[in-house]
Amino acid sequence: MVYKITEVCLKCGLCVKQCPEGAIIAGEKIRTDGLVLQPVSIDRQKCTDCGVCVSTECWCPAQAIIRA
Amino acid sequence: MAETKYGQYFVTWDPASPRKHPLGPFVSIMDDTVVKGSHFYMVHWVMPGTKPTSSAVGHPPHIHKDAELLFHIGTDPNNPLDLGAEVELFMGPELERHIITKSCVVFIPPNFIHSPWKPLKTERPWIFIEVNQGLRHTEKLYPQVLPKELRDQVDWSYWKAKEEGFD
Repeated sequence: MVYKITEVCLKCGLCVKQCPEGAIIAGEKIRTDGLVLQPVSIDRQKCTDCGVCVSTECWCPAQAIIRA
Repeated sequence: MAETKYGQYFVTWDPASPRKHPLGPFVSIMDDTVVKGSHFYMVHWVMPGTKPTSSAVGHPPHIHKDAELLFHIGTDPNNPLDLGAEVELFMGPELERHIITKSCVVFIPPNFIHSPWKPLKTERPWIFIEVNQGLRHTEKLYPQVLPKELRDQVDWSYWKAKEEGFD
């Protein structure tokens, strides 16, 4: 695994559509305290190590994606 | 002014418009639908005695696809750097708190979580200019960064209606 999603992830799901390889996978939504959260994971088969997901400081609003 | 060749580029507010800002009169709202090629700009006064829509929190945490500039401009000709107001602005998912009392511009990078934004006190009218460096306004809310006690005080149906551009 080249990249990983850390515990600071806000589960906003923004990265799912921004990954050009479709390697960030949406899990089942979580409904809690009036929030609808979107957990995500990285599909190691699809990730091509292109680096787009960590290429700019605010690509992920929580900066939750880091090189593993 | 549209009768002239370039009159379309002069944009002011129609006082008969039903759209009102809770903090003070609009000067202009512009984007690509108003003037082809224009970025999004919203200009309005902030008047003493006014309150934001979600008075307990203000504009809740959110991001934009494009960089944003928030101009806070004081109107005292003898002291133009004095805002004549106190504005609370939280930055980042950590909600780092800032108090603005001087005329200033705040740069918000694309996808950067910012707000709540809320005037705490306005002693003298001042001018607020919001610039989104994109052709259309975009917004995605981040209620999950607010403590639950604050989250519960927000009218989310009002703010959800303003979410756009992140489908």
